[in-house]
Amino acid sequence: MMKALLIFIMLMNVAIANDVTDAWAKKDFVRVTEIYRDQPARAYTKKELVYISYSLRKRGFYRQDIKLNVRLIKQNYANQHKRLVTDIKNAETIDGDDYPDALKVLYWNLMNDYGQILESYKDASTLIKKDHQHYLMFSKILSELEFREGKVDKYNDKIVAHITYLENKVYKFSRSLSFQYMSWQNESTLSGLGSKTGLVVTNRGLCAGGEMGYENAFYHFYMDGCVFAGSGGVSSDSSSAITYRQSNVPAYGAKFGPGASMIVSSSGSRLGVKLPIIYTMQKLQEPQNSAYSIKEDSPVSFVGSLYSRWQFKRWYVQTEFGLYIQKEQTFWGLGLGKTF
Amino acid sequence: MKLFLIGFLFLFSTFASAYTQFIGHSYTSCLNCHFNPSGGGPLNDYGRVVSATLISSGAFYPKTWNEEKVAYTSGFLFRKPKQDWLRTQINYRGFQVVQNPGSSKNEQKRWINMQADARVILKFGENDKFIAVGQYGYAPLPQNLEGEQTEWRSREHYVGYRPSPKVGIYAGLMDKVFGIKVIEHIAFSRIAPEVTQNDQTHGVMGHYLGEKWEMFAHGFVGNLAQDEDLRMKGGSVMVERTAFDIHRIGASVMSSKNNYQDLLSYSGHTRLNLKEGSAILAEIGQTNRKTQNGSDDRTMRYGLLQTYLRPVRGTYFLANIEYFKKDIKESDYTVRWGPGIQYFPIQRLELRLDAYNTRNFAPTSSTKDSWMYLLQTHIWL
Repeated sequence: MMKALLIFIMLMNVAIANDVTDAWAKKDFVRVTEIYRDQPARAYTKKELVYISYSLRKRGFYRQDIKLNVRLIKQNYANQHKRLVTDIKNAETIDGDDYPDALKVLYWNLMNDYGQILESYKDASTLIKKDHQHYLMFSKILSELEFREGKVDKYNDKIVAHITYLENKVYKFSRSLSFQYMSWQNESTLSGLGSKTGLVVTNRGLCAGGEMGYENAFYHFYMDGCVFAGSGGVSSDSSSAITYRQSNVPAYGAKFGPGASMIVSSSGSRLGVKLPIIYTMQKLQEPQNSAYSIKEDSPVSFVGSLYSRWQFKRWYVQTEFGLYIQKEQTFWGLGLGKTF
Repeated sequence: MKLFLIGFLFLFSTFASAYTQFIGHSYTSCLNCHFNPSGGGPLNDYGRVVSATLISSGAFYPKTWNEEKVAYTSGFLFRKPKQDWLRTQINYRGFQVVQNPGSSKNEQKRWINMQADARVILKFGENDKFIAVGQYGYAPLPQNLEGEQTEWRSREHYVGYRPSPKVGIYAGLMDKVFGIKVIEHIAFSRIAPEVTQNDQTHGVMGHYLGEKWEMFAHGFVGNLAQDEDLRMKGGSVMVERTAFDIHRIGASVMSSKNNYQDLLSYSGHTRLNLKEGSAILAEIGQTNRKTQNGSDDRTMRYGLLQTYLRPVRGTYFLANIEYFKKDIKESDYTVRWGPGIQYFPIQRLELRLDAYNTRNFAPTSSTKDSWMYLLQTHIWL
């Protein structure tokens, strides 16, 4: 009876053992990984573990594959691994020929697993740091062993690019102070005695302010504003029979609104649009002839502007050119700023 | 035969000037890409490769083409030259001008064929030690001269000798060396000192290119195709220094005169590399003009700020910000602000849109801004 039971158990073991090999032969990677998931502590052969490892990677189960590869190293190459790590720490010269290729392949798998995990991150995270450290460790081991050096270097570049990309995606608070030399035009109408003529006021002034917002390495979103003081000259259309002229008419106001820019170079140069509102206070003198009066345009104007900035470390040069919405006038500004 | 010739040359063109903004790609000296060390004129082989790869968009190339293949097709008629001593180039530049757009009364549109040129370059010796450059083609005349002079002429012909990579001497019909040679020939910084696209002169130019310094000295006797009394004779010097490895600062001075006027121009400029194609060009200068009868003696002052941003390969957003005071003793001045976009969809093709908003500042009058659009097409083979 006892003998029959033993034979039965042996047959069962063979059957179980064969199920990994059978599934592998059929390229049924799902089945291979399911067997491993159901019986992780089973005494698999070295060959079966290699099949399982490949299947795990094939299905994207990189963390499980890391555990499996570590297990393989501990089971089969514990002494060599320990010696290698010690030598690297002590900056000893390492001869790759002293280590079996099978161990090098396990390191290769581990580096690739951590690389795949790093590549799967879509946003910067505190978890990346630990995975990156492990990745670098296995990359270093492979470099010391001079194993698949070209491929290791190429993958290192890819991982560095990906991590830089993730870091660049992070939005940070930004603020700056700036001033602009600006010019803008306002229009008014002079009317009386059955006739009327347009008045054009050409202003220039200085606008001091700043912006606050969030930016990453690719985009910048912000609110921007400044207060300005300046003056302008006004005259009636030259074609008109009515003559009206005034110079140095004081003008005050504010300009504020949202903006968005695309950062187009590593120096931080950027190109964007702003939608400022310009509020202007400017009072034209009424004509001496009381038969005439001036109807001034609305003091509030909505503008769509094209904005550019060239960054020199913390300092920047900025230009802005805007068209008034539902009016004919334009606005432009040229200035300097400093980020904090 | 003439129709055939016109049709043939219609396909041709040259860069009217160098693209000085390419300092944004770390090209500080024009000699990298042009046979003429002061820029403009025919591109050398390296310049053609740069224009095909770095400058032009890669979006329309077949996916199977790598940069090496693109570079290979950058030669004349898409071929790699079979010999080292001869280069030919053809190009065309034309644009639609729209003045006072949107105005029912004053809008004016017209198409101008600005250039249609054929060029031949002979070059010999190590590093093209000896060169001879000739360029012949169509150049439009001002409306008041139409019919009086031919529109077909040589815009450039010169020989050059570089005994060493650092030093060169050139003689013949060339652009005068002065200031930043921006492509906008209507720029005040080109008009005031009279160095626009049709102001070439016969003369001798010396060039030095060192580690940090680049210097030009140009002596000229005027364009010999012009009447003797109109020829502007004189000389110019331009010096540039590389700053912080990637930027340039420079200064120019030029004196020239003919029977009717005497010009003295001086300017300072900078070209700043803001990386990945972004750049700032700035120039400020004055031209002092003395006329024979004293009727138009004055000193003109100008400023130029030209900015470039490259959001993607092949596309440049730019702004031309110009200041001009036609007489520094007067209060009036003009500011011209021109946003624009320059697009190189494929090698050998440039499309460009410029808008110019001009505002006059004067103590006694205030007028509405004037507007102008330019839609430009540039093809080179």
